[in-house]
Amino acid sequence: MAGVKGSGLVQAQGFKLVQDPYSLNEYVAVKAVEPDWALIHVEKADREGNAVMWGSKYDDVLLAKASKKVIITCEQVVATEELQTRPEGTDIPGFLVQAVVEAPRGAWPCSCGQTYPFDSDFFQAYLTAAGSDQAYAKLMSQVLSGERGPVQ
Amino acid sequence: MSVEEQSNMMVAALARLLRDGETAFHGVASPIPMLAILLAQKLHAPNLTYINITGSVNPNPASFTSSTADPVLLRGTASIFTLADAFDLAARGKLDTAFLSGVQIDKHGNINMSAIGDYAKPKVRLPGGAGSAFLTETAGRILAWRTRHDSKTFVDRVNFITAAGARLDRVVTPLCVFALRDGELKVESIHYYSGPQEVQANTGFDLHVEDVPFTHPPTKQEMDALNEIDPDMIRLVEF
Repeated sequence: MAGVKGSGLVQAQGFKLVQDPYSLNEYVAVKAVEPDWALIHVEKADREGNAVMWGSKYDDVLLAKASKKVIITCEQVVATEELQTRPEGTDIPGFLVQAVVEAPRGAWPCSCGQTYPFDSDFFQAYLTAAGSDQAYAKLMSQVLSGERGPVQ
Repeated sequence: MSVEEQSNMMVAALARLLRDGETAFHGVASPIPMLAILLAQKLHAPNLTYINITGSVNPNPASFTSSTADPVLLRGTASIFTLADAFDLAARGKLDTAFLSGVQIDKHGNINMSAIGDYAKPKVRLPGGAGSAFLTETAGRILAWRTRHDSKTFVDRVNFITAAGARLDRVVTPLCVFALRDGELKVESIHYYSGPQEVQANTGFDLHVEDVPFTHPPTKQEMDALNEIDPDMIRLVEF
């Protein structure tokens, strides 16, 4: 890739330099990352895992294509026929996906595209609690018991 | 000096550095650059192309949250230009300006976003900055900003060079504007409410601060436009 040559990350992470055989320029080469699993939340998916994201994609499509296995969680499971009417709107093809879970508000406390915003109050509570093991454990138990969670 | 005045000055100072017709990018946690770009577009740079980490192109946000990776920044975009696309654009030499910050910035303009102390056994592990390492060597220039100006932030040498400083152009702080010239940060202007002694006392390396001009205060035109863009004062969240 371009750039990064002057960064301390090259030595600290053991990145190697390679020569582009065409331009003869030297570039930093980073080893491919191959996660065992990618867990990606989307707006809509069918039972096969064909997944549709609205708005920002960040690195999620790349992540799905790099990972050995993919779990899609979604706001709503829809019929394949719905996606077949506009296949170019599908971001991740189902054959790369091992499992689909319908999980409304599943991105909480983060945002999900333009469907709902991030939960600012919860992040504030998290930031405060993260300063002590006790407060953090209490907050997490509230989350696990369902006392704190997404507004449905 | 109130944080309101500091935030106004920082947004205005950054906006003035942007040029009409250029392409500018910011990432996460960047409310001040976001507002500087929107302000510049509204005033002197209507043909600036604004891209950001959400993938929007020249968005027209109606409101903001404290996050600059928020879908509110998608409003009005007619296409999605992903983060990978933005990096490719920089690699092709077509990204004119990228906004970056750093936990430490040193006198040579190097940025540390990786670790305080030793990288392998840090006292504090920082968020990381592979994107910064990439952009500081590929974007046409880097405009940096930091809402904290003290001698822990502006240091003689960073603990770790996450992003090398060669293409750093300016750093805007609550006290002054630094310009990287001949490989060293020099004070270009001191904000109207600060002064040479305050800038030097809060910087961890020696500066030439005498006979440095003052940064022009935000004009009425700049303040009117900024208040229109940001009536809810999201520009304060970084302080």
